[in-house]
This record gives sequence, structure tokens and C-alpha cells, in this order.
Amino acid sequence: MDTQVLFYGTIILTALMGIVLGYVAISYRKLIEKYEKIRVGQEEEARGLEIQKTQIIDEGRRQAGLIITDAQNKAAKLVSEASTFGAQTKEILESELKKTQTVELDYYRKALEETKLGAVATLGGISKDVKDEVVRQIEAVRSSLAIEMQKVQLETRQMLASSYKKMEEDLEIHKKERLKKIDEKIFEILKVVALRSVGKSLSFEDHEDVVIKALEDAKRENVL
Amino acid sequence: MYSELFSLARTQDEVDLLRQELKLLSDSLFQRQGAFEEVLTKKIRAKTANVVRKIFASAEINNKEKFFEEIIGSFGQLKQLELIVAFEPREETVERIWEWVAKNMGAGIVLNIRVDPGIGAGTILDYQGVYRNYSLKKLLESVFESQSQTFIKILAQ
Repeated sequence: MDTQVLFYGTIILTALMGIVLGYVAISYRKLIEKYEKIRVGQEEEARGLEIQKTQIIDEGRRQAGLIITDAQNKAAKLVSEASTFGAQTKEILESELKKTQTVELDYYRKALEETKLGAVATLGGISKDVKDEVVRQIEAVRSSLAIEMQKVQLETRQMLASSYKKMEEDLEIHKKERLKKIDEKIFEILKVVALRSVGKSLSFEDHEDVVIKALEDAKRENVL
Repeated sequence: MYSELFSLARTQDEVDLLRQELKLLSDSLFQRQGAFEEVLTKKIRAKTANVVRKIFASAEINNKEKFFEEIIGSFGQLKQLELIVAFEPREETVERIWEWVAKNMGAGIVLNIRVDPGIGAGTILDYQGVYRNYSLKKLLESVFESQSQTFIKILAQ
């Protein structure tokens, strides 16, 4: 009976482990799908950002071109208007024009750099978040699986220990019963052997004497 | 006077046989002449015939029919002593036991002996509802029961 309990217990535990592993596999699959979805989303987002970045850069270029063209037009106009002024005035104007161009270009470059940095930071942040999330979930699953495995191992060990103890107790009881039966059997054999050997060793006269003796005992005991 | 006749009825089997013989004799009294003598000679045991002849020769028995009736009726009043023994009793055994019974318990008792080799030796008796087991089997059982631990120790050595 105990062997059956152990057998069926092992089967049940194996089945439970199978269920747990199945659950883990399904969870892992879902996680991979989620990761894949996020990865695709990230790629699409990255492509979008790249396009956006290109548009910003193009826009920046376009605006810079417009500013420069506008500045040149203004400068030419000033130069033409200032032809009447002196060489000194012309130099001052050219110097101011250069300053303006430099300021505009710096502003444009700065805006471009900030856009670049912002896009990279956004993309890096998304990638890191996804990675962290995936790692966290994998770690959670691994931890959960390890706990489940430990629990199953502990339960199996406890069950085995309990079964073993029960088996030992049953065995001890069985042993005592068997020994008792063996003792009884030995006595039975001894009785039969003694009866047969004594019975055969007695002559008719001896048998008769024993019967007469029994009748005398019975009379003494007032049975007869 | 009739003790010799009852000595032919020591056991229940002998009582049954004697009853049949006496019935034959009783019935022959109403048959043709010479039938009684024919039964005595040919249909019953010689020892029964001898005892009957002896009784009729020594006693004044006017009514033979009544005599047989009384004797057969008295068989119903015999007390049975049932004995189980371990061996098939021989003639001498039955005689010894019956003599002991007649001497110690008086007349009017018939033996009913059965054989059971399983009891080893001795006897199991039943008399008027009182049962006693004086067999070797019982003796050994009580010895083994009281001395079982001693036997176990001896066997364990």
C-alpha cells in the first residue's frame, strides 16, 4: 500500500512539476512576444524619430539658409545705401554683418545639437526601459520558478520521508506479526509432533491405562 | 439375574444389536412352533442365545413376551457415558473400561466410544451433560500456553 502511495505521490508531483514548467514556458513565450512587440514598436519609433530628426535638420538648414540669404540681402542693401558713406562706415557695417551671421549660425548649430541629443536620449531611454523590463520580468519568472522548484523539492522530500517512516512502522508491525505467527506455528508443530510421537509410542495397554486414569480423575472430581 | 444379559450391552452399538436380537426372539413367540428355537440357533449371536437360554433355564419366567418387553424397555433408561479416545478400542479395552464403570459407577450405564486420533492420548468424556477433557492435546496446549516464553527463549538460543 505504501509503495502505491509513494508511486502515486511521485506521479502527482511529477504532474505538478509538469504543470509548473508548462506555466513557465507559456509565461516565457508571452514575455518573448511582449518583448518582440516592444522591439518592433521601438524600431518604428526610432524610424519615426529619425525621420523627425532629418526633418528638423532640414528645417534648420532651410531656416539657416533663409536667415543667411535674408542677411546677405540686407547687407547688400545697406552696402548699396551706404555707398555714399565713408569707407569707415562700410567697414563697421561689414563687421556687424559678420557678427550677425556668426550669432545666427551658432544658434542654428546649438539647436541642431540639442535636437540630436534629445533624440538619442529618447531612443536610449526607451531601449533601456525595455531591457530593464524584460530583465526584471525574466528575473521574476526565474525567481518564481526557483521558489516553486524548491517548494516541490521540499514537498517531495517531506513526502518521501513520511512514506519511508510509515513504511518502516508498517514493516515493524508486519515483522512482529510474522514473528508471532511463526512462534504460534512452531508451537503448533511442536504440539503435533509431541502428540504423534507420544501417541505412537504408547501401547494399547498404555492408552487404556491413561483412559482409566482419566476416568478415575473424573470420579475424584465428582464428574462421574 | 439379568446382569449377564446386560454384559452383552456394554456399548451403544451393542445395545442396538441386542435390542434387535431380543425383538426377533420376542416376535418369534407369535410365529409357528419352533420359530423361537430357530431364531436362537440361526439368527442371533451365540453368546446372546446362550445367555437367554441360561436365564430361561434358571428362572421361572412364565411370560416370555413380557420379559423381552421389559428388557427392551430398560435399554431406554440406560445412562450414556460418551468417551472420545485416540485409538480404535479393542475388545479388551471395551471390557476394561466397562468393568471399571460397572464397579465404580454401578449398573445401568452404557458406553458410547468414538475415536479421534487428534487428541493424542487420554479421553474426552461427556456424562449427563458434564464435559471434561483429559486428552494429551489439552495437556500440551496448557503446557505450551503457560510455558510459551520459556520455549521461545530456548528456541532463540
